[in-house]
Amino acid sequence: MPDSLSFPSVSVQAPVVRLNGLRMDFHTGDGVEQVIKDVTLRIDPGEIVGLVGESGCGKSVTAKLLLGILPMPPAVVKAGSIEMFGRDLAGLPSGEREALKKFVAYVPQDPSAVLNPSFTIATQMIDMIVWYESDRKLATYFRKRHTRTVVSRARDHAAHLLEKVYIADPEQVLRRYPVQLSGGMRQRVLLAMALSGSPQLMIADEPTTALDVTVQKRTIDLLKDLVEREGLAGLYITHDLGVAREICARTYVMYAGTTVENGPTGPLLDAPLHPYTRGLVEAIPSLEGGLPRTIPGQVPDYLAPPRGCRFAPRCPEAFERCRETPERVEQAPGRQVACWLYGKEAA
Amino acid sequence: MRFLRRVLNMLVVLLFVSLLMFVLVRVLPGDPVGAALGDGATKEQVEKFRVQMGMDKPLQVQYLAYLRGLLDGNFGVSLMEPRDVGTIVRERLPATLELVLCSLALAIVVGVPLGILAATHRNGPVDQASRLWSLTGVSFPNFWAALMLQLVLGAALSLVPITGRITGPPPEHITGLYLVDALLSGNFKAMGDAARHLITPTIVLAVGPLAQITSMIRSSMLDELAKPYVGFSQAVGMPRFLINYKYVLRNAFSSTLTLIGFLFPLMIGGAFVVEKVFAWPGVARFGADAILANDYNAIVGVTLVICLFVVVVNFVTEELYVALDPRIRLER
Amino acid sequence: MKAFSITAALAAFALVSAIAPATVRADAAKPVLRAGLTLEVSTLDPARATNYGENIIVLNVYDMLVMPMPDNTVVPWIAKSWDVSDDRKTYTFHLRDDVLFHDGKPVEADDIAFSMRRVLTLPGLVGGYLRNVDKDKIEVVDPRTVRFNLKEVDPTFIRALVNLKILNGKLLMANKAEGQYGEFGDYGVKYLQSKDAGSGPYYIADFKAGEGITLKAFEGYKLRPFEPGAPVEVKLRIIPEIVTLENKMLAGEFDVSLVSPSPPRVKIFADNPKFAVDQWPTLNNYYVVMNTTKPPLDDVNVRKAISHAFDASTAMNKIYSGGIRLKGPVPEALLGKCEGIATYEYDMKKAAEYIAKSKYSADDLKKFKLEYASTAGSEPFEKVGLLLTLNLKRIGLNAEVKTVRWTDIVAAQTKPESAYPFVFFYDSARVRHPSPLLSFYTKKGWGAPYPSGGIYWENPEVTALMDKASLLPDGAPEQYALYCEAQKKIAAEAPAIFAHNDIRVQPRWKYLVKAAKQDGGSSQYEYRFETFRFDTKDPDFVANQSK
Repeated sequence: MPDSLSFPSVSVQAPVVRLNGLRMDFHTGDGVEQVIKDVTLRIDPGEIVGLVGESGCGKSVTAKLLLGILPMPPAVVKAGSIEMFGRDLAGLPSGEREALKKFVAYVPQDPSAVLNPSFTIATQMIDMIVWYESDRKLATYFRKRHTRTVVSRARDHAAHLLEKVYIADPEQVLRRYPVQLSGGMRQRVLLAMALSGSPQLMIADEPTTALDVTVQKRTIDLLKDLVEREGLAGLYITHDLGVAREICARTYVMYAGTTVENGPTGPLLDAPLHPYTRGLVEAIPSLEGGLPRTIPGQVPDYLAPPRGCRFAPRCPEAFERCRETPERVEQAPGRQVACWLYGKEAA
Repeated sequence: MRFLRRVLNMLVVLLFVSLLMFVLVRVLPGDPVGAALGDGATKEQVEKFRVQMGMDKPLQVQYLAYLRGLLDGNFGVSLMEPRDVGTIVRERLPATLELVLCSLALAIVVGVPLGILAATHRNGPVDQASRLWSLTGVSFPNFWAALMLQLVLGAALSLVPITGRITGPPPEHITGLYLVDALLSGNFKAMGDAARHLITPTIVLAVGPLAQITSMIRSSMLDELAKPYVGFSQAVGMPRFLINYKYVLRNAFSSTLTLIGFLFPLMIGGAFVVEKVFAWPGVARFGADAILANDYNAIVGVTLVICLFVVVVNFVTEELYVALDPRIRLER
Repeated sequence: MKAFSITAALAAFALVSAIAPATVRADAAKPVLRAGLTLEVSTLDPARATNYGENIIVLNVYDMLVMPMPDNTVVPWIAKSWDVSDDRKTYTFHLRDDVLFHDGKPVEADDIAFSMRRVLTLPGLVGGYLRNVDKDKIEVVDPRTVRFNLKEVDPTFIRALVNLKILNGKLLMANKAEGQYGEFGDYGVKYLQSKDAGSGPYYIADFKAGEGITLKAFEGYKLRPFEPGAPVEVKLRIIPEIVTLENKMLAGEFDVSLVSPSPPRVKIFADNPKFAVDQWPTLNNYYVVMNTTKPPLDDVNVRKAISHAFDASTAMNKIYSGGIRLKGPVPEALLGKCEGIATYEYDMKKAAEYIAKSKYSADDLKKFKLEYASTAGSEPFEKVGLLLTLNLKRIGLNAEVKTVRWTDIVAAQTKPESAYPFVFFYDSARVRHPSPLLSFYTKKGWGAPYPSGGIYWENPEVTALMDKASLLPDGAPEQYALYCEAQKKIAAEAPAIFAHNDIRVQPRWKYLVKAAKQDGGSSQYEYRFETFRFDTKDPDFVANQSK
């Protein structure tokens, strides 16, 4: 079975992920896009952390960075640090960086699109399982992939993983092509695939948006259940604050490449500090009726972002000071905010 | 059952083509008799010849007689070269097939990896070159290139013979494809000889299709590479090699397969120029000459046989397509 | 003597093998002539051969009763002599007794009679030249004597005989297939498609339709000794593309070109020291035939205007590789001295003057659509058309070039109703005599699809002159005076544009020291390969032979 100790330097005590003052630019044909300005984020072992914000705020970029699928270049790290499993990713050889992927379970947004339409579930799962056992060597992989005992063992493991996500007839599902499965079933298959390495961290990128409401609920329950059972840490990206409240212990709010506010989810949503967070909370449709209020304006152009606080042009409380970048200050235990309304001088 | 239906479909297509061509060549202006009899034929001789060829009878009677002949494998007599068209086509078809198949193979063997390289190393030197190649290659002046290759490889460097299929005696006739026959009969001298003759015409005929295949593979690879399953496979740490060659290529190749089905008849058309320039004794040249000479039976016969091959090739590519893509297979 | 030549040969062999690399070397004593043909060889039947390639092959495989000479005379060949009756309608031929067919059978009177009946029965051009021979009165007097009776006096008869190839009647009858000619079956048509029945200097050793043909020297040939160094084998390949053919010349895969290169490419050979380029005028006569039965071409002034508007020298020198201007249907080389023929030099001013004299008004003239039918696939024909129609537009005629397949042109030209206003064609004057060329301008010559090309013009005076001339002894000055008169009367009314006869340009490797060098006295007769000669010691020859 996959050996979680095959990469001995994975620390189980240190924070699973630690991003500190990360700044990243993208070199595109039109110029330099300053997408990530200041992302500071920590995920401890065993906790699920939410990342919320409008689309285009850099959530997916952050996820891609952690998944190791952000093409660099065009992306360039300008400042700050990225640590995963206690290791600094800067200067990590690409082979070792790739090897870390085995410890990361990825639950993508659209379950119907990420499965390859031309291969059966069995083929796709066995490919993954065998590859994780092959020490990143293609030759080993091809040898094993064509060894009957290895393949049948991998197949059994795949069936076992499918059982873990409560699929009643794993053999039947293994034989199917993705098109033959329902959306919810596909999402469960993906969850099973996510477990096929030796995951320590699960990154879920809006995993329920493509599903209908009833399936959404079940998937969220399953996700929670899995994370608890397997003892995983998690990063849950969403723009649905309700979902975040349900599964995330702590939540980070991100705007235009900056984590503007963070803290325990409940208090953060009940009493938002940052004007942007307040705007987000007010945008949730309430049961009392009435149209949700939206935040006027839109996410800035990253080619020429506003100086200082990037939210200032849309902020109802903006003032002179907002031309400068606010520092992140601890407002309550575990509660940080980056806004000139708070901190020493404002207080 | 499905197979039977396909075969039946193919027969209907062929029947329709035969009817269409049969009527078309006779309805369009032009009289083949003058050309067939040679200059200076008298009116009586012309009339006698028309009766002899059955041209005095009504069109539907002529067509039925033609179909009856076809059942016996009798395509009617060519006017240019007074022998059975079937015999002539049988003699000449292998030359064209050998040329077209070699060119197609070359176009695939070079075009597919080139397209993959271009797509996986987007905007790299291979990609830039292949894009330029796709633009110029499709509109490549075959004729000019053929003559230039003859001058350089043939006349100046004496690397390859300028024309023809073979210099020495041809290998024992089994399929009519010299390379295959030579291999089957173990005649490696003839094989080398035939291969040397094939080089330049094959390259010239392959240029256009190669460019098309390269650009097709490139663009469908790029389409595929942008699909979420590629990002997902990368995110879970699957190796690039496996992603490109096992997952992406398989999906990208389906569309290329359809293109190959289209390319085949186009290449038989293109073979006309190549066969002319390289004095290649193929059926495309014969067909073109037949049109100029208004040789009814030859036009219909050549069209039918080429059509048969096109239909068969389309059948094969479609079956392969289905085999490659489970979505279509499952819908049946 | 014999011992000496063997020693010499051995010495030569030793020398050659000493200096030559260890590759397969051609046998210098057995030179092979290699050349290309741009047109398909689809028959080897002398009665059906039409293109130059087929004609050249047939010419080398078969012999004739008489042989044409470059000076337009004919000399005895299989026939050693002949007698002509006083009424000039009966010809008795006495045959040589040493001429053999390729299968060893002697050539006899039966074969001559068979060959004559065959061409008169089968459709084809040759039968047309000999149509005055009475098919039912061919007499085999004895194995060495044959007699033909003419239906009417024909001054061209002996010259026309040049086109009668003698076939092995016995062989053909033994190999006849089912056919429409009664006891003669198919008259050997099927057999002759790919095989020979001749007595000529070469026999057919191998023939593959679409690829080429190999001829080998016939050792029993007695009619003329082979030139020393003449090819013992001739390999003719079908090379449909002329530039490919030129490439093969340059590569040394061909020794001589049997077709003229296009004018800009002649220089490539002329500048190459290994090649020689020969030139000589041919009797291929080029005309633009007009359909004089339809307006406005029924108006002599319009026709004269058109003749003046034709830029003959550009056509001749820029589109073709040079030539000699024609003044009427008959080229000067055939007609001899004839003065006072109306000529139409290129002069747009005169053209405009004639248009003004026309019975049609300028507005009327614009209404007639004048199509120039250009043979599909022939670049020079199209260029000539563009040259002509452009100038015709300038004098107010609505002329345009239309590309038409050759077979369709031929079919259209057989009737005045369907004949195109303009057709460009050439006549290779296979019978070297003024009479056939002039006869197209009399009613007798109308309607033949080719080579008349659709001429429906006549002048009773011309017809009378022609009839009178046919009764005179052939070659008599009085006869030629009448032809001259006819030519003048035809030219005066411009029923066609008399363009030019072209020049043959022949590139050859210099080691082929003797090849064709002038017109052979009938179409392609300069290509009897037994008269060619290689310098077998030339290193280029040695190197090229193995290519």
